[in-house]
Amino acid sequence: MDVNDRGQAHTVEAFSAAIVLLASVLFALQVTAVTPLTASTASQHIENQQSGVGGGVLDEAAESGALKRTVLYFDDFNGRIHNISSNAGAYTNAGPRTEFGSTLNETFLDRGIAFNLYFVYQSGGSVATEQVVDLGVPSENAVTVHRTVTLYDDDHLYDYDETRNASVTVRNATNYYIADRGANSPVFNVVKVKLTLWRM
Amino acid sequence: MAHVKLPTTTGRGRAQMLLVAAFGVAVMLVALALILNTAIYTENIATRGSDISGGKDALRFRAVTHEGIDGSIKYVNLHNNTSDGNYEPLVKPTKYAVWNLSNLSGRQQATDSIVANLSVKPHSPSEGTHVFQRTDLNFSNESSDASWTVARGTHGVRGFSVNVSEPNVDNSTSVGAVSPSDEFFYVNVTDGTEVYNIFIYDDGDNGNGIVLQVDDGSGSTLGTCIQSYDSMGTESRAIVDFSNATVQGNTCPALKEYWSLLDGPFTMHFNNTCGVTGTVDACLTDDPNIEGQFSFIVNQSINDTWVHAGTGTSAVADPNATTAIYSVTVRMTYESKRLYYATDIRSAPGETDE
Repeated sequence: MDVNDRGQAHTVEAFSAAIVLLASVLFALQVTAVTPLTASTASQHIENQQSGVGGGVLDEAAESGALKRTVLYFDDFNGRIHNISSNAGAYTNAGPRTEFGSTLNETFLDRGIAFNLYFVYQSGGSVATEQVVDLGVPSENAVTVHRTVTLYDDDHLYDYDETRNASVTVRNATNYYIADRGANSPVFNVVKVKLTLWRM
Repeated sequence: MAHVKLPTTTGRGRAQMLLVAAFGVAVMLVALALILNTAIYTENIATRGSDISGGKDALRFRAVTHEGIDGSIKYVNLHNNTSDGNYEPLVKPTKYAVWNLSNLSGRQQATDSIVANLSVKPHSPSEGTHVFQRTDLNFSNESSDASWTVARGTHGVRGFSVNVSEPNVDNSTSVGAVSPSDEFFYVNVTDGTEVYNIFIYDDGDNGNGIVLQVDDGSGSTLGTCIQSYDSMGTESRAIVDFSNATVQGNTCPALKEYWSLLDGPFTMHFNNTCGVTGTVDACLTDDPNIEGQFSFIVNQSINDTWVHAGTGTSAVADPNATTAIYSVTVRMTYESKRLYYATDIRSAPGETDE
C-alpha cells in the first residue's frame, strides 16, 4: 500500500486532534472558579478571627460587669461621657477610660486593630445610636459584634474613676442620654453595645 | 520517483498517535482544572463558620434575656418588704418587666430583620418567701427556740447563704466528727427518707478556720470543707453559700450532697442554734452556737402555714419573712430569615442548677 493513499485520513486525524485539544483548553478555562474574590480568603479568615475575639471580649466584660459600668460611665453634671470634650463627642484616640476600655486597647489597639464603639438604645419611638469611640471609618473588611445590656431603675451612674456614684441613678439623673423606656417595671432600658473592628 | 522511506509490505500503520496524544492532553487539562477547583472550593469553605443559620445569635439572645429577667426578679424582691401575703405588687412589675424586655429587645432585633418576642407563661411567676436575718444575731426563731422548722413540704430553695460572725468552737483534735448531740449549729434537710445534716463550726485550736461538715443523718460523714477566715474589720467572718456550694468563695463539693432533695418536697430545719436539740427557748438562757446573718428564698407562698413559721414581721432583730417572687417562666420566640427558634426560659436567680 502506498502511504500517500492515507493523506486525507491523516489530515482528518490532525484536525480532530486539534479540535479536541482546543475544546479541552476552553473547557478547562471555563470551569475553573478563579474569580476576583478568590485571593481574598485570607482576609475572610482574619475577619472570622476578629469576630471571635471581639465577641469573647464583650461576653467577658458583660459577665464581670465592666460592660455595664461603661454604659453607665457618665458625667451627669456636665451632661457628657467622662473624659470626652464637648467638641469631640466621642473618644478619638483609644477606648473609654474604664476597665472595659483598657481591655479594648490591650486586645485590639496594641495589635493594630482599630475599633468603633456604639451604644444603641430605645429613644422615643425609634432606635438611637450614641457613638462612644470614633477611631475612623471602618475598612471593607471590618466586622461588627454586639452584646446587649439591661439597665434597671436602681442602677447608679459611675464617676470618672469608675466608682459608683452613690446619689445619681439612671432615673434621677438630669442629663443622661438614655431615657426610661420601661414603664411600670424595674427595666429602665435595653442597650445594645456594638463594636466594629478592622485591621489598620 | 524515489520513496522517502521504504513502503511497508504488511500494511500496518503507526496507529492514530496524534489523536491519542491529543486525548491524553485533554484529559490532563480537565484533571488540572478539577484539582484547581477543589483547592479553591476548599479554601472558600474553610472561611465559612458552621453557624450559617444564625443559631449562635439566637442562643445569645436567649442568654441576654435570661439575664434581664434575673435582674428584674432581683430588683422586685429587693425593693419589697411586705409580708401581708399579697403578691400582686410583685407579680405586676415582674410581668411588666418581661413585657418591656420583649418590647425593647424586640425593636433592637428588628433592626437586624429578626422578630423576637417574650411572653410570661401561665401559672408564672411563682410565689416564694424570702426568709432572712440582716443583723448579727443567733439563728433562733422569733420565739428563741434553738431548733425550728424553716419550711416544710417545699419544692426549692435558692440564694441560700449564711454570713457567720461567731461560730461555736470545736477544740477536739479530729475534724469532721461532730454530731447532733454536740453544741454545734446545723441545717437539717430531709424528704422523709434521705437526711442531710450540714454543720458549721470553728476548727478551734487546730487553727484552720471555718469547718463545714455534711453527714447523712445516721452518723456517717459525707464530706468536710475547711477554709480560713477573711478578716473584715475587727472580726473574722465566714460566708457559706449553700446554693453555689462554696465556703469563703471556694468550692465545697460536700455542699452539693443535699441538692438531690431540692426538687422537693422537702423540709428544712435550723437546729442547735443555741444549746442542744430539743431544748425549747434555749436561746433565752443558753449561749448561741452561731451568730451572723442569713438569707434564702423558699419556693412556697408566705401564706403557707409551714413556711417561716418562726419568723416575725418586724423590721429588725428577729428572722423575717417577706413575699418574694421565686421564679418566672417565659416563652421566647426568635425568628430570622433562616431560623425559627422557640423555647421556655425559667429564671430563678441563685438556684443550684444555674
